[in-house]
Amino acid sequence: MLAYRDGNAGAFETLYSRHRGRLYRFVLRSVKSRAVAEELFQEAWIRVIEARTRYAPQARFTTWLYTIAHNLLTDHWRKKGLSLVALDGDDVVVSSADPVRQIEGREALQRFAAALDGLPAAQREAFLLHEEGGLSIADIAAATGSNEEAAKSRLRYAMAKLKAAVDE
Amino acid sequence: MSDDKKVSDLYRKLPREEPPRALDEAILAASRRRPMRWAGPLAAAAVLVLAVAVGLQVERGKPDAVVIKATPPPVPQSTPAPKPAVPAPSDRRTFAADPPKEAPAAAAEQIAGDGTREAARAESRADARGAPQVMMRAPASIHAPAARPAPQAMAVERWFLLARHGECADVSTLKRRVPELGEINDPQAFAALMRGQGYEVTAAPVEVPSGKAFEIKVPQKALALMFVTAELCSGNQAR
Repeated sequence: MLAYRDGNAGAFETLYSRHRGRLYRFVLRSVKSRAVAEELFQEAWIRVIEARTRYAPQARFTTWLYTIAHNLLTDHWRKKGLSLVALDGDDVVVSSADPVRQIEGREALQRFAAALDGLPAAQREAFLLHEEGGLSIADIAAATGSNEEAAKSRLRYAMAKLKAAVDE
Repeated sequence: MSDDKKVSDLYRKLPREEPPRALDEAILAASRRRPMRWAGPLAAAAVLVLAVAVGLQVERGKPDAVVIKATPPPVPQSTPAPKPAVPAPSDRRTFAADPPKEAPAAAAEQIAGDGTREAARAESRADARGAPQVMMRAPASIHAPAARPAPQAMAVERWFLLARHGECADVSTLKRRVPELGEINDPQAFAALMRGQGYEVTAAPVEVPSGKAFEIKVPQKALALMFVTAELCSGNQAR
């Protein structure tokens, strides 16, 4: 990001390729509509671009990036209300060769996906920031404007609910 | 296997969605279109060259303008922009690296409301990018449509900045807020400089009983300036 700030346009491409997939999945799994996810995703990167000349590394770039995304999602939710994630019937990939295990595995994954959809927004966000963003508890707290205890609690609850859904 | 790892492994088995290629290309194109850091000084240099050229043209062909020197009082200072800081999501305005609503593309965003955000941004970026070319082509093009004084007439005038209590200040006092001001001393060139740096600028002539006045606002730099000619300074000269 510093290289991009200092005029290296190619540095942005490196930055973008490093974070694009994870950020996209974070946004997609946080909102209802793929179109909305794409719009918010693009807006997040446009804000990165526009803030380039003023960027000062007072936090990790990843934390800053996901804070932008969190803010955009917050605005979105404020306008539209909380929305469940819809993973639009994509095929599930199961690696096991045993057909019975394949079916069980597929069903477990579907339960997992549904449980993820059904998490409260704050817990789902904490989970996605952890899984996609690779953020620590402290970084999750910073990105979401909460404290570490709250971030830890949300992540714990999310993990517990997801595990419970799979163990059914 | 710990429970957390089991959950993470399951999560990894979900479809690994990726952004569509068109979205990638739009974002990468936007990153390349944004003005680079050297564009500001380059735009300032282009404006300076043009201002000198126009000035020389005027000197050759027109009578000398009346120049009234004024001892400049301090230009009223606006609150400086906040320094970049770790964002506080509960108050997005303090997230200094997250640009304010008045970002150059903001006006264009309002125009595009149906998902053609990128096209709108392209328009605003093209406008900012094209500002130096606009200056080279026709200085009058940055004027408000309702009033288009001849470029030569604008350049003949000696301009001042109207300060808070009616006194006039030399345009050069702007250097404290705009270090790259150079020798710019008229509203037209100043507006072009700001646009060349990617700032949103509103520029409009103001009706006055005598002389000329031109208001220029650059919200992102917290600048609201009134350029005036000497007639409006008479009787209000700063000591």
